[in-house]
Amino acid sequence: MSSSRALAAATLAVLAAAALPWSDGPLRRLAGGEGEGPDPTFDVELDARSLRAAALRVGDSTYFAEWPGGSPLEQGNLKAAGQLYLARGLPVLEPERAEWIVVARDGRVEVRRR
Amino acid sequence: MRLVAGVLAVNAAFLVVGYALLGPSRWRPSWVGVALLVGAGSVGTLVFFATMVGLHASLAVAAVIAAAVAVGGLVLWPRARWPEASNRLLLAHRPFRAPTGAAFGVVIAVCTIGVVGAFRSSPWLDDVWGIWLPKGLALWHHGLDERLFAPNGEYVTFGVPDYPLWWSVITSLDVQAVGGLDVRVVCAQLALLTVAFVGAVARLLWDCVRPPVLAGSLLLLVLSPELWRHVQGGLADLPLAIYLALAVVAGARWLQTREPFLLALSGFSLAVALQIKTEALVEVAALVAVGALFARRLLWTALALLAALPWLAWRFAHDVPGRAELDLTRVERVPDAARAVSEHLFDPTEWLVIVPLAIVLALVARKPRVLLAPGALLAVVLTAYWIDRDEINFVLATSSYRVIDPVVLSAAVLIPLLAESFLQQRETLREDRALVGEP
Repeated sequence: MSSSRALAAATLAVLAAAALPWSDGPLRRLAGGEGEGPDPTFDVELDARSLRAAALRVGDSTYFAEWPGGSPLEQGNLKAAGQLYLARGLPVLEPERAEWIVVARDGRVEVRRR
Repeated sequence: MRLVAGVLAVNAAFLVVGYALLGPSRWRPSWVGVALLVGAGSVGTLVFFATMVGLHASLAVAAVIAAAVAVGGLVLWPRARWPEASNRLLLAHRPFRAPTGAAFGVVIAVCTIGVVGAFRSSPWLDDVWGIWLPKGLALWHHGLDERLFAPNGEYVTFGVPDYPLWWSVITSLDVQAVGGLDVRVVCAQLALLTVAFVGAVARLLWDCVRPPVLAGSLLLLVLSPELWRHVQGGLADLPLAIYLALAVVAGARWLQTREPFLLALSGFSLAVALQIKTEALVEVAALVAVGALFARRLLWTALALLAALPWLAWRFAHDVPGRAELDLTRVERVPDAARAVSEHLFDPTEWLVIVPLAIVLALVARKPRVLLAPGALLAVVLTAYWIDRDEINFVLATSSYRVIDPVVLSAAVLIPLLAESFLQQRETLREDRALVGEP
């Protein structure tokens, strides 16, 4: 067998092995497994759709994000998610300075004008 | 489809810029990996610098910069009389046998699957979607606005404000090209850079390492589970490692050929590395110092350190503090750090046998000095843990598996060079024995 044929055969063989639907090995993981969506895998329950909706309302305004009674992990995820989804806006430390209040409850984000 | 089309469009632009900078003599498909890394490195760096003078990291700014760099490269090259010796890297034809062809085939297939998998993966590291990408989006919408990038009492600022922003800029451009927020761009971009790195190593070593050795070395790298886990994590440590290792391999090739292009490529790669993570400043300085031990002219790569000045100046002007403290009294942290880092370096389920093999080859090839390159990077990592202010067990658990990437990749690019050196020594020995009539 020539070197170029061996190259092509090996390439195709590995690609085929990864494409087999019943193979649940490293190749399947390498290929991304079941596949994931466009949103992050949060460490806590946080609804990405409500974040995208909030982004449309907040726009480029100032906002204050809070998770009443949330754990440090929940607060941290909300802060990061805000900086990701509401990137056009400006997050402030004090609610008095915000035009919008972004509140997370039961993993869903709601927005209201201050 | 918008995800794939957007990311590929950005990378096509990087490729054009990269090829323009590489010059007409390298306008060949085999240089695609080097071209992508050079294009992404130059455009990302210049867009990052542009944000420091008030511009936004938008596609429009990137397009203007990319066009200017590409035109500059095209104008510069015909005038510059670079030695035609560069063509030695282009012309070498290396026939190889079927098993070697099969090994290259597996490398290509694994890289292909890795890219597909990355396009289907959301980064698992929360810092990526929580810090790196949001910074890039802020650079797009607000520019390098001190209200978001410098700690203050009014606005919520980003974590690790001392980190440079090349990776944020690159991934932000991808999001803009895709047309909407999709965090999978980070993994996709990282996969393309990783595959480009594999191609770049193959290209740069093609004429000096026999194909079976090169194929085996690349196979060892791409079969490492941790490589693709880091790709699917979107870690900034991996592009940092890619550019540092590219500098190492280009520097090593320059030692063999003395071609100015390779010295320039090495210095350029170090300059890009400086725009990725803070620790790169010390890592680049360490690599330059190691290089100077091999050839004084490698000190020219120290010019790359100048590329760190814009970001350092911006940080100084805006009171952005560094995180490391020069407290050398906490020496008790070093053994714990050394143990954790060693476990990751030598665990065959993570990076297979890349690091131990590089060590063994350096010893049997009687070139132990070569290990100074990954060794210096390792020393930087351990020193960082020594002077870091965070609780040692926490910081080791959350970072020791990834900050070793530069050590591993620099060892990986040395493996084919060391193996080739060892085989050549054995052949010479055999010929000498034959000459004196020994069996």
